[in-house]
Amino acid sequence: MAFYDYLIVGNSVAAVGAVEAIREVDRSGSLAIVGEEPHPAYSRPAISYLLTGEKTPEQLAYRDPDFYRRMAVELLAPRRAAAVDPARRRVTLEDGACLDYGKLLLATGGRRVTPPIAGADRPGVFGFISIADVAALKEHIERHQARRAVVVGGGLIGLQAAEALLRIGLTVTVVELMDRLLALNLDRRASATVEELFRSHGVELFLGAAAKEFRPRPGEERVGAVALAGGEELPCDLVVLAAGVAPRAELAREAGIRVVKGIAVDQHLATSAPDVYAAGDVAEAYDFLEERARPIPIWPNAYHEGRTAGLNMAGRERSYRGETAMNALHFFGTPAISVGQYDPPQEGYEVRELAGEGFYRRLVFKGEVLVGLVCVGDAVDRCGVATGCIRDRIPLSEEFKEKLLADFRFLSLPEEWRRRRIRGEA
Amino acid sequence: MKSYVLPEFWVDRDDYRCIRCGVCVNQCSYDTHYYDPEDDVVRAREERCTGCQRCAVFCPTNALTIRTHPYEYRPNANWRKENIRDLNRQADTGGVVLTGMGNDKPLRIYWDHLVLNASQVTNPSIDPLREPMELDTFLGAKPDQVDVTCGRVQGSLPPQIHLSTPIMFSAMSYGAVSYQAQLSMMRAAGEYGTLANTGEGGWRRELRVYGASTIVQVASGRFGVDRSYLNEAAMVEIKIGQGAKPGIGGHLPGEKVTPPVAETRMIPVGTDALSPAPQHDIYSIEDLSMLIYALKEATHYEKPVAVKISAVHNAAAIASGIVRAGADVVVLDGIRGGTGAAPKIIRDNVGIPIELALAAVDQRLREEGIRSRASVVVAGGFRNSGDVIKAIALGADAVYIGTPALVAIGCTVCQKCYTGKCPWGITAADPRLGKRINPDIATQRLVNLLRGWSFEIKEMLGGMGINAIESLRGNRLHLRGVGLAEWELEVLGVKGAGR
Amino acid sequence: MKRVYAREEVCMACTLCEVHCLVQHSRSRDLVKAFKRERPRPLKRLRVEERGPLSFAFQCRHCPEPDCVYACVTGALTKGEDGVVLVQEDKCIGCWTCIMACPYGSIERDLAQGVASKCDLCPGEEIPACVKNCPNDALVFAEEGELAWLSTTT
Ligand SMILES: Cc1cc2nc3c(=O)[nH]c(=O)nc-3n(C[C@H](O)[C@H](O)[C@H](O)COP(=O)(O)OP(=O)(O)OC[C@H]3O[C@@H](n4cnc5c(N)ncnc54)[C@H](O)[C@@H]3O)c2cc1C
Repeated sequence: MAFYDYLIVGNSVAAVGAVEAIREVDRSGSLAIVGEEPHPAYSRPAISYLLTGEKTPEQLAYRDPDFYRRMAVELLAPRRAAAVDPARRRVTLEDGACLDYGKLLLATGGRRVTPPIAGADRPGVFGFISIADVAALKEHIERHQARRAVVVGGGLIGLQAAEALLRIGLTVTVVELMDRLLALNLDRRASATVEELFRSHGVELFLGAAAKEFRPRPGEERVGAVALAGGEELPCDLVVLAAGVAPRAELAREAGIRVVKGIAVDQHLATSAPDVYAAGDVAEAYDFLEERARPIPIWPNAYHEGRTAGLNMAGRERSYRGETAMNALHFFGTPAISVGQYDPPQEGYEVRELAGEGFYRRLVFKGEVLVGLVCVGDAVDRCGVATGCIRDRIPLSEEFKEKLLADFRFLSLPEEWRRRRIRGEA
Repeated sequence: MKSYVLPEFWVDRDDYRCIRCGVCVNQCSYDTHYYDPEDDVVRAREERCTGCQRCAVFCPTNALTIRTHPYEYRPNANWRKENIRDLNRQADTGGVVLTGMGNDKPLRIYWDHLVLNASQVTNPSIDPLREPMELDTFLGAKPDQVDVTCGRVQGSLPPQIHLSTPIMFSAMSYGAVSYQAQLSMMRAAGEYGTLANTGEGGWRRELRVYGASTIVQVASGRFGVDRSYLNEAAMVEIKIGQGAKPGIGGHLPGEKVTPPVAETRMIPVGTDALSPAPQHDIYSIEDLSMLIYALKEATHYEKPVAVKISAVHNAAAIASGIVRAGADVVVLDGIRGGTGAAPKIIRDNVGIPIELALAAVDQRLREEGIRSRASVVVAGGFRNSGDVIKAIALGADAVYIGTPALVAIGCTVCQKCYTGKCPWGITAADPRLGKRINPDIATQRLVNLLRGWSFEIKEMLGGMGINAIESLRGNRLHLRGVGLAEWELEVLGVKGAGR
Repeated sequence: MKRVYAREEVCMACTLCEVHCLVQHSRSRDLVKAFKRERPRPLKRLRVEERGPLSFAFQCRHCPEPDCVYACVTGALTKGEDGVVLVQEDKCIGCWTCIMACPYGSIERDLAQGVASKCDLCPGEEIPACVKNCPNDALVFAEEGELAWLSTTT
């Protein structure tokens, strides 16, 4: 039986954030990560580059090859944690090994949501969230000389898959339940830009359409067509199912740890069980804009949560500063970024927009403070200045609202803030 | 109306070196350079160029050469380019042709015809690096006799100003020069132990910390003058005239009277700041005396009071009157004295060279036995330490330098001060341009100038076997004239070389 | 750690910092070649902002807790032992998450290479090129604690 001062389940960005934070405080405490995947932590958002062949799995590594040794981390992979016993401070692995811990971090991320579509488990239907998913997809394409793909889900992951498939020569159709692409990432106008991009590259879009069934090829098990609720049938050689992700919180739930959608955590990223923390896609941390906890499954937040958890685990008290939703997307070379409440949920918000050729910018204000933004094309440049306004709740007069809309620069900030920024005061 | 004025300067741009970085474009405050995006090339509107060389100095690849424009009219000894240009300018506008800085005409520069002595064999020279050497100078009236009892001076001396070098920064008013330029001169003066003069445009509050090294001016406009103005300074100077524009006043147009200028001058924002040609309360030496004593009363007889006049034909007699009126310091500003703005015709034609005025004044005051009742300070065209030491030998107690100080902080004597757009930020009214002077750098450069000149003066003194500037003062035997006519030697009170 | 700080009161927006930054980050380190020959054109890593009399140059703060590094989805952005935040260009995929995250707006898109571009404080140089070449000392390379004098000079 092994004991670790720090034990982390899951080996991705939240785990790395925690490791780096722990090692800032405690160079010597024993630390282990249990990882289900056989790889060192890798860049999940970049897996489409594996599909196009622009990157090898090694090149996707999130940290340098020496990382685990440097950080004195014992990487237990590929192994899966099967159960957590907070009372005995013990994690049991699927292979029967028992690991006792001083502090435990659950960083198990998310899993693909499988909607109730008949034939979803058919060969030729793939997820798109791991190196293994991509490897399987690639192998399928090669073995069957696949030519036509249907992507179910017009969100971030689905569209990344769609662009990659197109780039390696497949004909691609996207089916999306909502009446627009990226409904959870962009406002309507920016969505329309992305739709136009995909269409102009020859991708057929079915919006407001539900996939009902994945039908087999005649005489075979593997998928041969996608039937839509509206009656259309889209013949294909493969399907990518990208209908969302959900927190992988069952370890916690089974251990009696409080779970809402994700694992509930306090401002220290501690769960309801003593010395058990959670971070990343599996957790639901505080959204400073919504002023409530909710899962926001994005990479930067996973790191911040992991880092905060790590600092607290190692004994340096640190409150989570709170993050919010933000997405940096890019399709066919056109970037699109959204932050915060870019689609105002109700009345009482003020929207300002600026658009031009290859340029779209939208700022959403609530009273004097910026609460959301969308930028497309060249409008993304230096948009972090605006993100900073959101985070710091910088009060903006009419004059500065207009300045900010026109240009993301320090001269668009009130003087006091400009000075603070120049001095590098967070 | 189509102007017939041809450009004065020619912009030579080496296209291989030009990297289109735009530095010349942003540095020229006259909008001479501009970038043409269509042809991806930087071009020049030559007619705007003043030849200030700002662009050439800042061009990172040295791609620019700014030369006088090669255009030629038919050669004519009488009708030279300058005459034709001025005529054209005048025909364009119907106004007075303005200019800045000092007279640029080839009047005889007597400094260049005066040479110094040095010790050989019979009297030893002194090495200032090994032996003490004093440049200490005291400005103020010296009593005819001092009563020293038990090693102490009995009674009180008239107020004296100690200078660690006989070089001061001359009057350049806020508004004519930028705040940064003034600040730098005051700081440098303080650091080196000399004085800087506010000029007649008032004295900004922020600069009063340098009071111990500041001379304040009381001119015909009386801008910014109040009790604290007088009392916070080291010395007060009544300005009657200025070498660049004897007999005329000044006029700062309303658009340059910005809120800080207005506050400093104590006049309403946007109104023209007029300095009348005469001081309206002075029509005689007696009137001048009343003002001198009014200022002495106001400053409790603790500050020397100086009177500054332009060097004009009867300067000697006027100086005598000034001394008799009670001034502690007489300031003479010669025909080559600078200005921020003056009618060109006046600058170039009115007044006399400072060398002759100084010699005449010193001579007259000696003859009348009143030389010790006032210090004599001279200004107008001092270019180097040689000019300074010759002035001391001719009889001056100290000199004022204006142009050299400005050159030290970037000025290239382009003579466009009156536009208020000085690309070097010196005579600029625009805060965008004033920022071009970093007071830390400018102060350092000015201190370097004072240090360099002072050291050179020590070397020359040492060469003459003299270890204190005081011993050279008025000692014309150390001077000889070269290439001068008899009358000139006579006015200067020096022998011709070889005699 | 030492950073580059701007002194607004003496910045004259000449942009020589930008010029020399670009050259410092070129292959040839030659002004003419860097601007006119090298393709892709090297990029400057700082920007001058100007409005009316107000101007200043600005670049990465190399934050103690850098949002860009934490946000970077590939690990291309790192903060070294020396505190310098760097982009490892071969790892960068040009997703611009860092641009979204940096409140200082100090990361630019290198469109030619499709990677993020930012101040690296001129590795190997004692003083960064922008500071060294500022003709008016409007940029200073200083520890945070040495900053107090900055605002008091004019
Ligand atoms: C295709 C794709 C593109 C994306 N693009 C972006 C993007 O552009 N920007 C962005 O911000 N976000 C993006 N995301 C989301 C981002 O990848 C996630 O937010 C992030 O990976 C969450 O990190 P995490 O550490 O919480 O967990 P994950 O990265 O989900 O990793 C969890 C790890 O834990 C392991 N694990 C789970 N359970 C166990 C167990 N019981 N035992 C052992 N190991 C276990 C899993 O195998 C996995 O390796 C993208 C995601 C995908 C799939």
